[in-house]
Amino acid sequence: MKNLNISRAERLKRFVENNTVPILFVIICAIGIPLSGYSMNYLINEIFVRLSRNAFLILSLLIPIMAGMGLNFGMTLGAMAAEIGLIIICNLGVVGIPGMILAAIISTPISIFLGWMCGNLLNMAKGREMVTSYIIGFFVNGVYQLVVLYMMGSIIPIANSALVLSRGYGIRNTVNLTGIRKQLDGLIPLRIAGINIPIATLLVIALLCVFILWFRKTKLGQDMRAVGQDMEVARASGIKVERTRIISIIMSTVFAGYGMIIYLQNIGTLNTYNSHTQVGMFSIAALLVGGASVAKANIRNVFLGVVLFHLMFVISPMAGKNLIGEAQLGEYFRVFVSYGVITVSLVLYEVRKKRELSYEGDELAAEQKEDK
Amino acid sequence: MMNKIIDFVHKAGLPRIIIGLFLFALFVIAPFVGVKLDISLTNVMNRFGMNCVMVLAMVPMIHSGCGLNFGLPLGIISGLLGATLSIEMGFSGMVSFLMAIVFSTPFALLAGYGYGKLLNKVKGGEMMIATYVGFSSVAFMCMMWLLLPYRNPTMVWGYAGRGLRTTISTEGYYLHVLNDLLSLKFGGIVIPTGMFLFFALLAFLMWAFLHTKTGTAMTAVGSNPIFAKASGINVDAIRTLSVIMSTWLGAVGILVYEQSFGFIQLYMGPFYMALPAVSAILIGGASVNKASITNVIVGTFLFQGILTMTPSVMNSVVHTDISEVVRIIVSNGMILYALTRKSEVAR
Amino acid sequence: MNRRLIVRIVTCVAVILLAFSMYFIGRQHTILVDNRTVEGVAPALKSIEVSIDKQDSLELYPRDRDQFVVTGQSHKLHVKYTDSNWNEIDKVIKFKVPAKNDMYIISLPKLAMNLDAPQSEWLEVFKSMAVQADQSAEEPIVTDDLSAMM
Repeated sequence: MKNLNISRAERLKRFVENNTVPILFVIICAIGIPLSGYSMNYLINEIFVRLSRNAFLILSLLIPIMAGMGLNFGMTLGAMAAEIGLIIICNLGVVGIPGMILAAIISTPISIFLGWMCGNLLNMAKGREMVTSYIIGFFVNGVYQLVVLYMMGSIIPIANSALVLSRGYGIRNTVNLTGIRKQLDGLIPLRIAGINIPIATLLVIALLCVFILWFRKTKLGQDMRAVGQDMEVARASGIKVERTRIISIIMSTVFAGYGMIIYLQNIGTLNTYNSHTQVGMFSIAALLVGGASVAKANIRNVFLGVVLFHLMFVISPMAGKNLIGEAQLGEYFRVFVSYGVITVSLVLYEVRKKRELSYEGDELAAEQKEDK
Repeated sequence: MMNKIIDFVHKAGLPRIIIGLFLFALFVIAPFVGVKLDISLTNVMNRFGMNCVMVLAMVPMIHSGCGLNFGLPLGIISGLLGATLSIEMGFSGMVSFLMAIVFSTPFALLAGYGYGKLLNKVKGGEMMIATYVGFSSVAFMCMMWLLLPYRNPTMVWGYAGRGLRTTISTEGYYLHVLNDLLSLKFGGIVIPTGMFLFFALLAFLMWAFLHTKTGTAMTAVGSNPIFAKASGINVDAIRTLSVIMSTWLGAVGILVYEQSFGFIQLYMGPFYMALPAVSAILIGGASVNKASITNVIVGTFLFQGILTMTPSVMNSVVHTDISEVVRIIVSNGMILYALTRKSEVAR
Repeated sequence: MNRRLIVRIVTCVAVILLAFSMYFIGRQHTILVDNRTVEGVAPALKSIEVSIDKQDSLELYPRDRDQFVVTGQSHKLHVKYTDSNWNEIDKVIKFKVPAKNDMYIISLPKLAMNLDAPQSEWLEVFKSMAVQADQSAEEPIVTDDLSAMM
């Protein structure tokens, strides 16, 4: 009996250790919800909105993690490709679901090219993929600005004058996406007890989940996991490591682009110069909140992460206001928490990696001793 | 002759030469398109002085093998704490500036110590974690700026009577204390001698430090940690020391920046301040694990030169200001170049 | 290997075809319906009820002009009015608009002259006069990526 108790306590301890971040968030949300004073109905509605808005974007992060390349901070590249697609469909005057599909098709070659470039650069910076992909995001943002702010309307013709700044070239700060606004969300409307459930969007997300599950089992998926486990072993067994890594980044970038289109159709306006910049950070934070780590992530983490992270996001301004009369404080709090979560996860990952390495080293030393 | 040129190009690095030539071209074009050279030169020197201490802050961490200090905002925050405390106490003039340094020092030492300990736990992944330590600390301090009990009416929001403003003027406190110190005027060109002397002092101290026993130990830790450990150097302690130095220099750097800029930028202000400093030192010829004082001076001059000259020249030529885009592409391109160089990966 | 290449080419072509079909299906047009007298040709109708496709119908009196927003190129125009001989007319007319233009205008009086006339008689491309109305309103460009965070 006593024995069982100990093992149960131990199991609990291990569970807490492995799920520190999600548990912390459950606690934050549990304290914050009553403080915010929002009704349950409102919160559930909000969760569905956020789930349909963000899940696709976050799912796009899973593939590079599988290939051992860490969190793909370069997902903003896909977001930028998607934004170019959306600007083009606005210019052409294509609306509705066909508009979204056309934007997705336009974004794909751009995403593939950017992903290919990013993959190649990351192959040149093995061991520091994350910081490199992060800087690539900034770099491409500069190129994006060059194209959208200076070349569109001057070199690239833009017929729709509502898109162009009055100086004659460059796209306006905000592009109204009325043509595709909530088109996917509202395709199959469903309302249960005052809660809007965007069935069509959730179906698309489910489709991607199924694809990822299937992809893990394919030859390429297996190769990616092998590369993620150990690059040298994978190379020795005849896997083209560099190529596999590039493909994983390309896939992630393309999916991130589609995710961005879904995200923006829900929001309805495109902030031309900053919609994409924060997308990477928030997606990564949400994934990590769901209990993922830099080396391991699955679909469950995505959904748990979206719910917990965005719940915190929704309630913190109101909670801050009701707690000390300052909504701004809540806003800063959520930014701090987003960055804090990423920091803690990155540290934990590095510490664990180091511990494992030293553990392996100790084992090796012990073996050698035995040999003597 | 040709060999010599190739050798030089190899030594200086192609991107550096391109940037150098670009800047040179800007200076040559400038008078022809109606840009006043004396004003431009004054601006370049001023911005050089403003930024070089923060760039200098990169040196110790690169030397000890901690990589590029993307966590510079941590140091900047210590500096901001010092600055606001000094103003809160009501010091003015040079005393205010010196007191700001004094006040920021304990914060910088403490924060740097913790930050250094953390980076010791994550060897190999320092840069990414440094980035996020910087971001989290900025976000954390955003809350603190709202909550800390500052009272000085020049700093807090007028209507609420509490919570610091997003920008605070340094006028009446330490505005231009270094700029105006011994400043020289040649026609239209103003040389901020005080700022240069201050930097020279810090740079000299850094140079001297790197030649002491601890300093050489730091270089040893950076170039070959295993060898350093074998020869009895406490690697972790040296690394922590380098991080503390970096953080403190970051704190002083932002104070120098503010006294010339005229404003203290709180809240999200320090967020991306690490990137220009990082790219400046890289443009100057440093790499992820090698940096010298010369790199700092050359890099800051090239980087700030381009930032100052591009908008004025471009504006007169094509009537558009694409300097922002140029800055983003050049600085991040430079960081990417440094991160992806094959020779440096094998450390 | 050869087969693979063929599959790739076919996929590419299919995607491009899909893109074009999406363009034609999703292309949005504004169709103005106009009930103004065309001098010396056709007088305005006293009252006419029009609708395009399955949208709510609009009732137009002389000098009225209104608009329908439609997607795609083939549409049905449904008109209902009483002509000068007191005949009740209720007719559905099919018409097509080329994808390249944003706006078209239908002149109902011209249409009423001869309901069986080809569409070129009463349908024209409409060039908006109200371009660049908000010249003065220039917003500053915000490229600061931190503003999105709040």
